[in-house]
Amino acid sequence: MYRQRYYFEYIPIEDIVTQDRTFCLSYPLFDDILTESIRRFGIIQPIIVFDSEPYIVITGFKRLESALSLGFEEIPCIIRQVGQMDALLIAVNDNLTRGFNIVEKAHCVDKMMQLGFSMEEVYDLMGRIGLGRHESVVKSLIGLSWAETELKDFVLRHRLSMKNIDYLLWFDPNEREKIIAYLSGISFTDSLLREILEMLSLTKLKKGSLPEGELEGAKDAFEIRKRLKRYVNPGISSLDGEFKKLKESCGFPKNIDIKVDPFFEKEYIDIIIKADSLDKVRDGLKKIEGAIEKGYMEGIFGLTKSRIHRDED
Amino acid sequence: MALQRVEFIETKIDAVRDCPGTKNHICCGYKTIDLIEGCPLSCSYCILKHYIKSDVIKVNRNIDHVINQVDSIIENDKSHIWRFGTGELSDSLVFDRRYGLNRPLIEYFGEKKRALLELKSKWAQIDHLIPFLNRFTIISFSLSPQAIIEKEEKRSSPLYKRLKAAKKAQDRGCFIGLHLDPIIIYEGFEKDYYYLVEDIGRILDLDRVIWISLGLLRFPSRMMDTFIKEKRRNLLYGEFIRGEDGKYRYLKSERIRVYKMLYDLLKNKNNGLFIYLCMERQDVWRESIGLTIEDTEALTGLFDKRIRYLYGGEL
Repeated sequence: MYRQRYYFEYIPIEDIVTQDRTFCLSYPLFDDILTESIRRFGIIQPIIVFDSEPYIVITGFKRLESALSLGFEEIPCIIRQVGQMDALLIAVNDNLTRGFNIVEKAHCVDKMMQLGFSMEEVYDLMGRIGLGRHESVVKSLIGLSWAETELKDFVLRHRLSMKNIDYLLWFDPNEREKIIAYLSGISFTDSLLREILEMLSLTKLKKGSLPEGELEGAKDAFEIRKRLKRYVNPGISSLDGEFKKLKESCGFPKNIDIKVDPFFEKEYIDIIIKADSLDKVRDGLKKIEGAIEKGYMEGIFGLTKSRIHRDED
Repeated sequence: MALQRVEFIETKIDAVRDCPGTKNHICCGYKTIDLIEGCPLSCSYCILKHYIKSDVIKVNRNIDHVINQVDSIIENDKSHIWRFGTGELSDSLVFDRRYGLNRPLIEYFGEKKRALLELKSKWAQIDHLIPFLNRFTIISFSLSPQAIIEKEEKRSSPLYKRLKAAKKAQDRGCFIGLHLDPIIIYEGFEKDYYYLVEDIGRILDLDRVIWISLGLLRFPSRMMDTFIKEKRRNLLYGEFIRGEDGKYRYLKSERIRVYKMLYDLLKNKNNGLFIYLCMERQDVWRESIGLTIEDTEALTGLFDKRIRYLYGGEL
């Protein structure tokens, strides 16, 4: 640990290269609350810049952005003479206590890699900011760091998990743009999105393109999932359709139900009679007997035992 | 695809176990010998990578201890003719020429004459073992169409080499085993598997094939992400469901169709072949090959019968 006294001075903003984002970790850059605070109280904490001509910002990009939007002409700065790697460490540590969002974490890792930090140093930081220390995580974060703003905004807006970020990065930017456009207006949980993205990836792999027709006009995420399931699992969907038809043919009242394994894997079925009297039990059994006589129950067993294909053979 | 480091260990932990099997599926009652943990062949669909999270392949050099454990099982449980194999946590032959791990086991089983040792592999190097082979060692090869070997089993031996090595073992007087596992449903797979069975029938003596296993692709759910990430189109071509054991499997009707197709193709080549399904449900057994197998005990009984038929009073 070393101690050094730093002084700040007001520097004209025109002397700063505002577009140089080499050390910028913040995302998004513009912050309404911060801008309002700066408008009322000014910049309380100076930004840090390289001792260069013109000045290059090391940390304080959000404050600079707010100052620019408020039309400030000068800004308090601490001028530091440091190497690039130290500069990045200053930027990281300056922001560490406020906590990084996932895009900012991606920027940290990506910039450390770019500046030649060792993997051990990168993993050390990843551990400190709550990321798994693994090569595949580094790869995903670099992908996110370089991704288009639409994806970054989508990730932050929906607080996506790393798994879903990975899925989105798997698609090419054009496909990603379409997926984000379809999903933007609707709400979903992370696990529902995961199911949707998994099915979209599978379709892309099998058919070579996205099933855009299945996404258009869907009113919510559940409908998208339902449509995609039909598309990705045609066999299950067809069995399910057959089962519903047979169940309908049985003509059972509401207190009798038949349940099958959703994947038609288990060969047994559940027959449920809800009854509060012996008469209702007798009546239920009679109705089931009727369905057996008409061959509907055998038809259902044909589905759970997968006898359809064999018969067709 | 990083290369793994080999590390030798001398351990006295239990290296002989029952094949772990899977919930609600019939297992064949196999005993596994964990001589090596990890495999350098790195087949794309291999579940070992997900179970063994290490860059190190561990080779157990304490063969005497392993043999003692095998011997204790053979001596203490005479209810079946036990089948032991080293191909569960690794490939049985891939390191063998270099490290000579199998020879003491082959010799032990040859002298014991009470159980069988199966060396299961995708690596077709057996010349170094030929002089030591005996009838109590089964040389087995996992077989796939060459198109799948080229894409999903890149580091392993080509099909023709595996078949040639199997034939060499037959010529030496051994029975061989064949494992069509995993069977993969991809575009045009029926034709490729048809020609695979043709090759098997053309190159091998089918009377000297002790067993053939059929097992369609199945994998733990977390491998789905890996397959998608790696764009494994062949592996993801079919329609999958989540089985009762939580693993992804092909839809039951598809499994029945494919098993039936392969069973018929193989039986047409030689009706005497002993064909079993690996980790399948009772109803799939019944619908595809017409056998009602109640449980693992029943299947183990069928193996006993098969072995007795081929070995007579020798075992």
